[in-house]
Amino acid sequence: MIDEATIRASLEEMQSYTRLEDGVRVTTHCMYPTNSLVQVMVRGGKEEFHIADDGGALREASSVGLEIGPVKHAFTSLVKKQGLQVSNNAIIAPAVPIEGVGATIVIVANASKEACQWCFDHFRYRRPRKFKEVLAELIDQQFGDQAKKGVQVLGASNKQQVFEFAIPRDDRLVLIDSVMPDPNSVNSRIVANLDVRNLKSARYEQYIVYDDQEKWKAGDLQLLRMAADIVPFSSARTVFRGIGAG
Amino acid sequence: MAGVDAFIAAPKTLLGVTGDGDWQRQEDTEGGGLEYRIVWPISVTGVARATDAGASLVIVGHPNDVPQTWHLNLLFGGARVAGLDVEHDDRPHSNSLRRAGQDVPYKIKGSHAHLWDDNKHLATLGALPVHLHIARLLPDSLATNSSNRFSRTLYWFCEQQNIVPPSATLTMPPRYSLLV
Repeated sequence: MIDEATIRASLEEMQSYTRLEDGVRVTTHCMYPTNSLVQVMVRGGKEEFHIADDGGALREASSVGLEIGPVKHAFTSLVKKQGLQVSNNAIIAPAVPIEGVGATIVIVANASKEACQWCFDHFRYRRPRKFKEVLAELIDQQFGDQAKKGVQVLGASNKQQVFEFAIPRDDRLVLIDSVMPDPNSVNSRIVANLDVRNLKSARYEQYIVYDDQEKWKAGDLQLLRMAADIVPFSSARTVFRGIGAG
Repeated sequence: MAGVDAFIAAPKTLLGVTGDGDWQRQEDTEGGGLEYRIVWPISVTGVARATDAGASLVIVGHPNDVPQTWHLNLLFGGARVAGLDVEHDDRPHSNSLRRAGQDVPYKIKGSHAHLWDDNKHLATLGALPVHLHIARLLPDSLATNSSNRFSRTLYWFCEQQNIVPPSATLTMPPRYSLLV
């Protein structure tokens, strides 16, 4: 029959106590939803000890690639019933004497696990859009073979400017470009579109489509607007319908 | 699930790789800036289709950890379908009892990989697994800390997932001071 020493040894294999510069990192028996074990930090001197997860709950969720949002309010409401607080995304216990250290480690570890579960319940993986491809697909759906790709237009500077898409409409040519939120992309689209706009020809109708799921500087959008009509991708289908009707 | 099998098996390339400049410091809501990230979209067999828009390699780095730690995540269909976690040696991971003790150990301490083949049994007809509960230790060649361990783990992971590794040499961001 198995004896308790063998069981204890097996369970203790899971635990560890690692001395760091400012305290001891304790591996608990509590488990995050990922099946990694919760670790907490114990800091302090002879009479008072400070125990925290050092942001472990948030970090565990973030490490698998979830797009993390604000957590302070949610974490606080989750952990306050246990007398814990949240600071800089870490779950922290009030200072406890030595006789409270063990129990507080267990409370902090379980709160950290709950907070991590909350992150998995509320945050998602970001789906990066391959913006140019998504736009190309939309244009293909809307205009089919009518849309010409990589069309050159002679600008006012006498330089050939290249546009991603051109759609002939009666005596007009609708030029559509995409732009990414980086200086090279912004500058090149401004130059090409301004050069054609400076022809002051009624023949060309110009649109620049930008991905409004990305973060944009207001100044960049202002500059782009000087060169062409700018269209957030979320409105592109509606705008293109208008072009189709024309 | 068959979609993930085909995705993993297909040759893939990373889009927009330029080098160490791809790291982006993540500013959290309290201004801690606790981690760095790289997000590279993935193109399947050279044809980038909108339906693959969720496919990406997301790298999360913690340059201030001693030693440094990082996580490689292959995302597809709104889920993590494979991963590699470079962790502290005292950090255990428990394998789910649906597989532990068969061809994977009950527990792992330190760095490990979550492979799709080990975890696909966790998928259901309608959903990919929320967590990859089964992990394996990294091969010995990746176990030691060295200056190029980051790029070696990245290359190994890319090879495992049929991704053409980046041609640029990648390193972890340098440690940063919190007292800025």
